[in-house]
Amino acid sequence: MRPSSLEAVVGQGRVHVQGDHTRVEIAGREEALRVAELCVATRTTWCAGNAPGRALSLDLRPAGKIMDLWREDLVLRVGAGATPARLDAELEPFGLCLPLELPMPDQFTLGACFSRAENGLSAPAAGGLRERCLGLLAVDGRARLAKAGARVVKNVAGYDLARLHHGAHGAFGVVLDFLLRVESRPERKLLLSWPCAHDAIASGLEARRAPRASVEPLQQLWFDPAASLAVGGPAEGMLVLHHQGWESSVRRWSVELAGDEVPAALPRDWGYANAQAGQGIFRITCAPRVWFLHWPRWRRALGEAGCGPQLLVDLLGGRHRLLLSNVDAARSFFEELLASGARWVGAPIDPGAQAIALRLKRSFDPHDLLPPLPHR
Amino acid sequence: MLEPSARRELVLLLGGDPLFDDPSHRRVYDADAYAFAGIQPDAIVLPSTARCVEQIVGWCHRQGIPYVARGAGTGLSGGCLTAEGGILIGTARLNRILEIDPFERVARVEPGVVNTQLNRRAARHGLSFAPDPSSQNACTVGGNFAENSGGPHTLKNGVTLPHVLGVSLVGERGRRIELGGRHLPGSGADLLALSVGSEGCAGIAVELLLRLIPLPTAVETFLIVYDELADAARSVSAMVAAGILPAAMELIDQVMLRAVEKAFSFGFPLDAGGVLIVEVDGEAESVAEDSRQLRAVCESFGAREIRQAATEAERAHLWKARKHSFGAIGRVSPNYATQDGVVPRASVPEIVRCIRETSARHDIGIGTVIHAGDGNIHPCVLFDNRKPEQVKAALAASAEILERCIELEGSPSGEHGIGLEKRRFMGRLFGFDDLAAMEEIRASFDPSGLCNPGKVLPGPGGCGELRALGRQVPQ
Repeated sequence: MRPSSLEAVVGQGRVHVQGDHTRVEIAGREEALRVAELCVATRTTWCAGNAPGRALSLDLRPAGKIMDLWREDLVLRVGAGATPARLDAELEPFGLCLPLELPMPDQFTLGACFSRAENGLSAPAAGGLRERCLGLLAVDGRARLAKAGARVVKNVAGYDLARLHHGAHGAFGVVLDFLLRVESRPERKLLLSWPCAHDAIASGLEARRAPRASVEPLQQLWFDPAASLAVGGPAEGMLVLHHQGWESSVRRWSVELAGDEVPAALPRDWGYANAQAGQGIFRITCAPRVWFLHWPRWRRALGEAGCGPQLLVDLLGGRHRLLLSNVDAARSFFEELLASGARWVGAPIDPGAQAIALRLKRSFDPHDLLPPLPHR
Repeated sequence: MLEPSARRELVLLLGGDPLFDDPSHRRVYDADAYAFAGIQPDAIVLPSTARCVEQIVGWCHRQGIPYVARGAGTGLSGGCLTAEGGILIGTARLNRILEIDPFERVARVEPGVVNTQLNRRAARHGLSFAPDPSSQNACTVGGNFAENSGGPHTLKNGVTLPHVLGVSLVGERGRRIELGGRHLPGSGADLLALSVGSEGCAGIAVELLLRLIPLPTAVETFLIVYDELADAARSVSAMVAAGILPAAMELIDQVMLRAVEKAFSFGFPLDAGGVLIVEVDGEAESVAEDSRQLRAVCESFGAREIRQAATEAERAHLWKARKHSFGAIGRVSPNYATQDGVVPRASVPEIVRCIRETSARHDIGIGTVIHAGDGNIHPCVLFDNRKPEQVKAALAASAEILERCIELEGSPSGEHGIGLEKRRFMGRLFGFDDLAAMEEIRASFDPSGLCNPGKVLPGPGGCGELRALGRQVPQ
């Protein structure tokens, strides 16, 4: 496709050609629709963000901001190109937040998180991005704008297109904007870490009782060293508990699980690592699925603690995905579980489900221009 | 009616499980809880095994006969009616709780298990299945799955979707499809999520893997009395904005309050404009803080009285009043139609006003309960089925209220489903491309179109098409 055709739609200076790849800055839904129509008409492969092997990508970041905010309803419409960090900055003056603790909040866009089914650290407690999404607008592989949902928190009218796009890696279309349910900012957030796997496992069992808390096994490597003051602990990994709510509740759980009080002077939005790890403020910057790479170490610790792998399954809370890039670690993980006798159903792709997914792909992307269907 | 040869084949496939096709049974199964329609199935089968369901669905495909699943028939949108004739597959005998794993907090169940039955079993382990429709003493988890059911206590914990981890569906040509499971979810089309709330059009669930959540360690339940219903409605948004996320927040208007009081004598103040039942749960510290803030907000919005349930018996008493409200209405009117709209939470006062005006305009009684935290309204339109002018007025009033929900950027269904009843609203809610995309999703699950046809999406007659329903409406 000629850059001039694209510039006729989006204007000059917003089409960036590098080798075989063209990136187009998109400022609104009409522009996205026109560019999609061009792609379909010229049979140009396209996507949002940077999916490999696509000739053209829609850069939705220029439109990545809050478009509507209904404060009384705690609902907003936001461009899919917004990063969680930008969204948080826009919400802070209103005392609101999207309580998900999404990975790499200043880099991944909301659209990327949604299409990769990255639901965030708080998903088990507060619901993931899928549950927070009340509706969306997407342009599909037929260059057709279709909306899902409404700005109400409960809605069962028709089939929910949002679920089609969730986790699909853009195989069915590009999400342009979301209707999201937000919350009042909690009075206190808490992150506790246990640097020792044995302590972590024991505490993990206790932490399951904590309301609105989620527990995450992580690797120290994935804490942002620039933001970390003094997070210690061995390289084998650590377990992090995330909890938020009223001050009194957070303080109680802090004492119960870590035997230490939350320092009153800390900013409200950041937690702390407990005394064992050395007190400090840190931020999580990685997609926690990388944890699988370190499964063997955790397995050993579990065995020594007399626990089965179900505990880890429970702690993971169904938020981690097995991506092809981690296939060796994933295979090892499953083998360990099966060998342990865990009542765990493996994840073979059901042929019937695969047939449905392929039919969906043919319907929503008949020219096969969008990224391929990832395997679930 | 079934041809004799077809009947013989079905009887063989059922292997002793019941088949009914006599007029009296067909009459029994011609309706669910939707008041305005009745359509008799050609036959009713009650299989007791998943394998039997596979065989019946496979047979339907070979014969080109539509089939529809039915749980307890408590649906309120005509979702389990055989709109285009065919076989009604009842799941009542698929009612086993196969496993409850308290460590992993999951339950593996058959679809005919009654919601309350599962909750009783889960409670032995300190767990619960979150969706709690008012009909939970009768409705099945299969129906909850098909309709993505809610209930008063889903404000905090979400409707059915996040509580379904896996499903075994009998789909096209009677083949089993496994979606989700205990394994970690991968990437790809979220078919499990798409199947939840598909209103029985994606296949028939024969086994479900459900997430259980811990029962709260502390619970406080309040009855908050207001002179004006509008003040009660306004305090709802204020509570949520203050950072309180109650487990449940139910608003009951005066008409409903009086009906409940007349039926059960709970001791409600009959002169109240409306009451809120609010429940906060969690751990003790959190509940105490929620309770303190809740009182402050309600008093600032003119609450005349705030009663706190002092005992578990008092708490149960309050919830009995709320959950029996639809039954109480049955004592003051020979027929009623329960509607199910949703509006943005801040628009609850506006829709409350609309309901009152609609009631006056049509000279017809409407009692309302609202899952106020969700903005999910349930106006019960009262009428007498024997009086055509009342039937007409009830239909008109219901439609006007749901139209207003759409105008307020809401939806005509929050938890009951579109079913047969609300197909005509889909064209008001969605554009042509939106509906085309939904049709493609449906066709991907059910290419033959035999699985519960004539539901959810407007038919080929257009978005306003309601001819199938029109034939059933008493004139």
